[in-house]
Amino acid sequence: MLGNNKPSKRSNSNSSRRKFIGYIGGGALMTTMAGCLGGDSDDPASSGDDDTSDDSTEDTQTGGTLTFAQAGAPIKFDPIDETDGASSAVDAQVYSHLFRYGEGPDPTAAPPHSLATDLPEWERDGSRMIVEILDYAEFHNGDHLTAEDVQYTFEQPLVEETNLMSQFDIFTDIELVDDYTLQFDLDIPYEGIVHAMVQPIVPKDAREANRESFGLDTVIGSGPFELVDWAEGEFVRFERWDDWWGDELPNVEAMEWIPIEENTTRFAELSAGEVDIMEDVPPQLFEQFDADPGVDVFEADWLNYFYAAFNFNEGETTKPEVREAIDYCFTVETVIEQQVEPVGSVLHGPLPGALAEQWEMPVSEWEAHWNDRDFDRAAELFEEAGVPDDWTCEIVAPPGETREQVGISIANGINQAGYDASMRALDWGSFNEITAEQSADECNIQIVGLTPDPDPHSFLDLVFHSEGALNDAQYSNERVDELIDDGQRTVGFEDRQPLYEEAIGHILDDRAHIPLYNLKRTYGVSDNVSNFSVHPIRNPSLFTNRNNVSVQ
Amino acid sequence: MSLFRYTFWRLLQTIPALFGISIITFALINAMPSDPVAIMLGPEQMASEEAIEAARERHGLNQPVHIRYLNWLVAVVQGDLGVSFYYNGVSVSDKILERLPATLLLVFASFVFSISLSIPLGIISAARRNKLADHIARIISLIGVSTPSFWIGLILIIVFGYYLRWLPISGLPMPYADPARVSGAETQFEVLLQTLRHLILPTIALGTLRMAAVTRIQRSAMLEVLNSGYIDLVKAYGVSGRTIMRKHALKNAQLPVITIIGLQISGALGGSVLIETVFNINGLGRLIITAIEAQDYPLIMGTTLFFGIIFIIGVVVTDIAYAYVDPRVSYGGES
Repeated sequence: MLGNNKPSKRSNSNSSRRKFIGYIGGGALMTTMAGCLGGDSDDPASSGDDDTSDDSTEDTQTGGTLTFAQAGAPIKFDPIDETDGASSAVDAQVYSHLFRYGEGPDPTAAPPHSLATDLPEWERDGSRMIVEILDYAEFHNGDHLTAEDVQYTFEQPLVEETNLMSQFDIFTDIELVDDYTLQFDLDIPYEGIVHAMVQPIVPKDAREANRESFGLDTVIGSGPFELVDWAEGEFVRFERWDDWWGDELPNVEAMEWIPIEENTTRFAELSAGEVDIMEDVPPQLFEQFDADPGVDVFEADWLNYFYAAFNFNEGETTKPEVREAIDYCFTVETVIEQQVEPVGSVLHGPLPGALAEQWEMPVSEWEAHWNDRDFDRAAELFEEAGVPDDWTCEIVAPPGETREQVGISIANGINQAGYDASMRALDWGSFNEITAEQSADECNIQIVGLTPDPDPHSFLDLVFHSEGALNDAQYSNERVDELIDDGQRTVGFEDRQPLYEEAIGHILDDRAHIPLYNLKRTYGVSDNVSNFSVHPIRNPSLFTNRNNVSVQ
Repeated sequence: MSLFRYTFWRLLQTIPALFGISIITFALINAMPSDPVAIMLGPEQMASEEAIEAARERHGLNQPVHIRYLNWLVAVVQGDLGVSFYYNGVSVSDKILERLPATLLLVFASFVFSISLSIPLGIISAARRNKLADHIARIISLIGVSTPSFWIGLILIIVFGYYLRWLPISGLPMPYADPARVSGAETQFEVLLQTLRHLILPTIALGTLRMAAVTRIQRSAMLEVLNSGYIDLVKAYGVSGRTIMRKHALKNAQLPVITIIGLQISGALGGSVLIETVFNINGLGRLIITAIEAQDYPLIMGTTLFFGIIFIIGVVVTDIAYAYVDPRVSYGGES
């Protein structure tokens, strides 16, 4: 089990005493909850949704309506043309996917709920994939799901130039071998493309019949639930599709998803029993969950990576001694414990915990790279590097309370080592502008995060390859570039793993980044819900190959 | 000048104001460094240059700012507010009309709440100056004007939703909604009851500030009138205190109240942004938040213009009401 997938409950005092304390301490509670307006918005945009590891509860009860409070409002249910996570989460219930994740971040487990009959068959040294799909899957309108629908789903983003086009432009050709078999040709060999293929499949004919209204007025998938009604910003209603072609039906008969953006309102609705599951528990509300016997927090490490990246373009941080000195200015574990937990975990390398574990990375060795706080040593290193006394370390971060607090902690450490440091939280536009320029007067350190596909290549290529799309800091190491490129072209875990391990070793030696934390996915769950669990990538997990949520 | 001509003239004067609002709004949103396409595609995602350019072209963002403004203006004059980036091409007008009823209902309810409480409270406070009722009214109004609406909303949620569980804290079904689409309602009457139940807390949250402000204005206006010479004269004629209040003081004390109520229309619309977020009401306030977060230019422009129109209508109505209440105020021309 890869996710830290447990209900957390920190206190078990009896309920009448708790209620009494609750009333007596109402003022303090109100202050805490009222302080939760809005949310910590530094969750990076996720590239995925769905699937689980398991809850210990084994209760199964069929029927009932599950009410789920989303933190954002979905706007359209066309997997080919959508950009928001709230809509993707709805899609995951209504559409079937070509592949689905197992317990962890590996979609090649080929679980029974996926459309593919087996793992992809690789040919041409990893540049061709043969995928066979089930021959009995159907859409909600009764049409058979064929290889043509799959081909359409992967080709159409390029034709329509939707936001998915960058994920699928690696395909040079997608051919139909027969009605239920496809051949995907890749521009270059890349095993990690399987992650992009965890994609909801749309019905070609129904979508082409009216492309404008598809996903708005017409939602036809092949998943275990049918979307029966929705009003933007108000609700999405699902009913179990009793004719589903899968082996097993969902336990819940119907679902109502309502978007409640305000954290306190979401929690109050959960606590009042109006909602069965709520998305995103902010850290300020963990104590209220402890105090409420009827609700639990479920959590799992999310596959994202937050880091402090040094400016390699110009300025003092281009000197290795300065980067090491800044490392001596704070203890990352302490900062993360104070500023991020319980909604995140400390990282020591550029891969999130679950992915590092899956890829058998030497995490304990990574940990040894980082120093505990030592201001004297930091001051010595700054002096060795010839840093002028009037130097100010400029730290910038995009919006997000957690990132900002971490940045302030780092700035405080640098201050204590004898140099000025300023932390500026910027809106995304200003942040992008400043980090793109990489002027030493504006930015020496940027604190940011990413959630790409859960493959080491995606994490490393984006921010450490000299041509990486998100390598704003302009880190460059030829050997790292070679290893990342080789890792992409190599097929098979055994051959890819050493390449990435070596690349990460160089990255840590260079102190390109100071890895900080990965966030957790958190859900508040009422005790009338059983078999709920949280997956590191795809959520909410309500009906998957390993769990089937019931509601009393 | 007749009332009709006066109203027409005042409405004509609103055109330059709306034009100014549109230019300032357009200039401000374009001055922001954020790129709406980057937000659309996800700031931390790895959208390719091709995808970014395609989105930019699709939404006309590859044109110079002044051309975009002129295109927008020409379309608006023809009644077209454009299509939303964020809502995948849905018409901005449709989106505003879809969200408008909830906001209007909330704002109207908050005005009914605030006026029905504040005017009696202000009158009682003035009539019983420096007595217990006056002190209580002043404390209530002081707390009301100094407490942010969203905080009152959160406290109401915690007390009435979390602890007492007496009232719903999320959503606002419209009274005309199909009963099949409203939880806990089977008939249209039950929908209406649900509307009223859902309306109570947000109304109090949004109306408290207005109630407090009007109470204070009403009190001071009443005190000023009650201290004026003509009231002393009326008293000297032996007219009863109640008649003085009702016939001679109240109407004359309404001028500043009308002014503040008119101006508070914009305050209520602004307050609805936070209250709708806190109480999860699908109104224009939340739409504006979404538009700003998504840097949805057409939606920002459309909603701002719409709010501007409502505000200006409020001001015009206030002017007309002013003239009605005070015969000394004319519709222009000779006084």
